[in-house]
Amino acid sequence: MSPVVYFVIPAYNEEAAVGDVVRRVRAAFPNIVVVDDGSADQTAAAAREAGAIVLRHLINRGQGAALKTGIDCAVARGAEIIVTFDSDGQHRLEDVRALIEPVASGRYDVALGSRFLDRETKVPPLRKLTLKLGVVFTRLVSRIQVTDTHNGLRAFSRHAAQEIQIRQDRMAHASEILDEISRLKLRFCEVPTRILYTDYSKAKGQRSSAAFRIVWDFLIGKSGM
Amino acid sequence: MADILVEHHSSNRLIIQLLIVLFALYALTRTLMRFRKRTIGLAEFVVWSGFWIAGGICVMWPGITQWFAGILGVGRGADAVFYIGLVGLSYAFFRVYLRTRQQDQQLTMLVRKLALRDAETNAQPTTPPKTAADA
Repeated sequence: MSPVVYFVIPAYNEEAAVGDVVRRVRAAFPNIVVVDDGSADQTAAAAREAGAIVLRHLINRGQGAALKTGIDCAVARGAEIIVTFDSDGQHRLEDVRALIEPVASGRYDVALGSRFLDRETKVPPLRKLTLKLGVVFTRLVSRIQVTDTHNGLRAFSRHAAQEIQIRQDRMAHASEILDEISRLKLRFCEVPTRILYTDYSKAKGQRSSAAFRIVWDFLIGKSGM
Repeated sequence: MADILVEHHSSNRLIIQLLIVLFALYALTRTLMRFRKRTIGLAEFVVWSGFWIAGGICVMWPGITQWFAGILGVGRGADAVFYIGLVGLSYAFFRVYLRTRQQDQQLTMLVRKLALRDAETNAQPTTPPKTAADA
């Protein structure tokens, strides 16, 4: 019997993209939790119409906070595998099966998507530099070796999803998740996943300069303050 | 020209002294009022009253800060006040920063609880597929 898979999709002002993303995912995976992170637009309605379970943050709390809310909901509903997926359409559904398999088979607790293991993904130069610095930073600070630290596509076992604490409300949650994997000594692997750098996803995504804020948030959080 | 400037300087100084002392007195009455209404505790009342009284005294008799600067080994009284003030403000800022972080986390927990609770109460007939019902 195949495990119960839940998709968790945090969305902030994504009415234009989230409906299509949900419909595409839903064709293969029926359980989708979209967390509308206090959007000002019709994100929640678009996601609900497309068939997702929609949770609403009354005010915007950040992607990390939204992910945690969605993961809590999925766990409460009996999810055995939880896949995190971005709402802007930058991930490919084809990659998800390869991501789920290592966790479903019980060999790993967490599977992380990596755009740098994928030969086809064309990462813009500045973004590549920033992400590579992130890899070095993560290796030094969290003592975990990965090739892509800020990829929104991941699969967690139920156990891993319950153990990993996400306290970083904003973007530093990605570093925090890796830190937690290292702290909890979870078994993890990386899987090549493509990132589709469309004009839309680039416009909606983070600026490379956001890295400073991420490092600051992460270090302050890690110091226990 | 220079004489006028000096004169202005000294009279301005009296005015600024008067203003600061008046402000300190005002702050002192507010502190007392808050203590009476019990919005602040005894310890806070003592600390803040001490702060405003000490500040007022230093402004009235600047020689005190000079004397204090001598003890600390800092050249001028104004410098001693400046250094201590800077350390005090930095610490206050740090406290506020930590407090804000803590409140941020509490706010997130609250928003999350509400989101999860609303999801429970709202019947969503389109969503529960058979796998979720089994679980």
